Amino acid sequence: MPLLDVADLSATFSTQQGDLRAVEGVSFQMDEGTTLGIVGESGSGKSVMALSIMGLIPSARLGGRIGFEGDDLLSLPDARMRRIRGSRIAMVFQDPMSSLNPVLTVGLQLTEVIRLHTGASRPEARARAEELLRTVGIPEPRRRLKDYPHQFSGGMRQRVMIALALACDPVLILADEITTALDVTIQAQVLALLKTLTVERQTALVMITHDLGVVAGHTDRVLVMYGGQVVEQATTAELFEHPRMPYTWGLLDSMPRMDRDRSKPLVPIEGVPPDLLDPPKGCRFRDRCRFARDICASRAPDLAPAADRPGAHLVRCWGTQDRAGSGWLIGTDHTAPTEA
Amino acid sequence: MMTANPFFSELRRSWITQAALVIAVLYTLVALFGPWIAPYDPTRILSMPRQDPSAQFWLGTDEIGRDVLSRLLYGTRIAYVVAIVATGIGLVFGALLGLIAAFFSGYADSIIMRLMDILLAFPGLLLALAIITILGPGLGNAMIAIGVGSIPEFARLMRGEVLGLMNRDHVLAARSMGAGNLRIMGKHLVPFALATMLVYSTAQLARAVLTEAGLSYLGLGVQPPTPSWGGMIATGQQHLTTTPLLALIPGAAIMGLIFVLNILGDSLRDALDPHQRGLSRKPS
Repeated sequence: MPLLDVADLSATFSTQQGDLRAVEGVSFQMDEGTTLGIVGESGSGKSVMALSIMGLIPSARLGGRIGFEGDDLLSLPDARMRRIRGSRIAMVFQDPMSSLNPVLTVGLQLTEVIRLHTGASRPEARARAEELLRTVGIPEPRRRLKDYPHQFSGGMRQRVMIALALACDPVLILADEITTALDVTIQAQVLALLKTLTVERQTALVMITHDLGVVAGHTDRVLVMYGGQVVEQATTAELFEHPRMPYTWGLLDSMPRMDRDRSKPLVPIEGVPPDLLDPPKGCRFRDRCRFARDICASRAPDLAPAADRPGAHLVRCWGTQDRAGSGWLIGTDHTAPTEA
Repeated sequence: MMTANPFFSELRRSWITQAALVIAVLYTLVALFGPWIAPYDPTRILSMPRQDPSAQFWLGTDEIGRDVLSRLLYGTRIAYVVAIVATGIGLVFGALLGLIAAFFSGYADSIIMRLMDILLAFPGLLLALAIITILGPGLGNAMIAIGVGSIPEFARLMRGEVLGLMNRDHVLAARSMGAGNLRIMGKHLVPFALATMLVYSTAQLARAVLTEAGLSYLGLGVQPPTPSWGGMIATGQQHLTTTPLLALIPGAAIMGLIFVLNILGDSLRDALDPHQRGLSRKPS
């Protein structure tokens, strides 16, 4: 049985302009100790999905199923969900500057979580907190426990957040854009730290990011999300070697890479993400896709195996699926743009 | 600069605040020790009525011959007690209601805030009058009436504060660690709203002093012969043309206290609001 089994998850917000479906029909599974990258631009639904798993968006109507350790998280009563949060599933947020309570010492925040979930005594929790700070590489942990968040630098604060997430040895950690707010020089350190710690502890890790570079070295599998849907799903190696969805191509082309001709300019993806209040009828990426054909406008493609990489790769694109009237992108090398 | 208390560094910058603080301390000392400082029993008739200030009676005697100074000193304590208790009632219940309304939203929010709107629809003094009409006149009921009247403003302020705070990342982060509602409220919301609530409380203290004076003036607050500033003005005004000091002295006492409280409230706000601090502080 997989550790996390998300099936047909949807999240809908009621707004004054109508229903906004931020996440639609997302399914994936994760085994213990594995890492999954979820990639997409702002508004693609990736953070909403993470918060749905945590049960932290009361304003959204959630559909589908989130299987976790034999329970469906969507139907668990609040009290049980609260016991899972922080102890079985933990989350690390984007901005370490604002995610810690500024009026409580770091030590107090750590010991609180520990005591809340384990019932440890104060001295026990303090010892554990000190050990956690040491684990995440904070020098002089005993002294630092007495410090307030503003006395830590951004990178150190994100380490504290990681320590908080690890406090009760969760089996799953959701990391939502954890490097976005950090200096470039610190990003790699924090990622490597999280990776090492989760591997050591056999903790499953979901890495949510807009940056394919973050996913590259640190995850086993990748979901690419666009407009609230999964548009491509494969192992990380497969995705980087044989990307199939034109949106993923766009993401790769817009990212600087060591292994490409660096004299060529980076290519941005033109246009804006679809309006989720009134999603387009056919393929949601159609308006921004230079390979789009008529069928893309009339019918929405399903997430289905790529024709040339069956079994390894799921794509939501008519061009790479082997079905009636489709498949014109099979075998295309996206690095040499063809006028479709 | 070390981590100095922002209130005291604010204090150092402004001589007006310093003066206000000194006066406030004097008022407080009088409130605390008035009965020991007072030369006479404030309820005893000691001499001829309406005597001018003299060495024996520094501020003269009132319309039936009691010592005005002693009555003024005793009255300070009454004013303080009323202001603090009434504001306390407003702060505690208002903050609680505002917190619940913002935190649980939905029906709780609608019901609580509509109730507050109804209370707000009455002018402050009128509401106090209505409550006293129900409960009967007296010091205790006056405090309750003034306190209840201030609940809606406290509740609205708290609700606004908490609504803003609930979207803060650290609240979400605390939830993601499994914190329950009470913990979120007590550790992650209330401490952050306190600064604003305290500043508003100082303004409310001043208002409570005024309202109590008003109620006593109307004979609905502190009952004679217990001395109160409002009551002293009420009886004093009958002799305004002949002995104006009888009304002017307690009037000045009220004005002074309110003035001082407002200045301190402003300084407190500047000290607690980091934006204000950044704007007013010269670059060093």
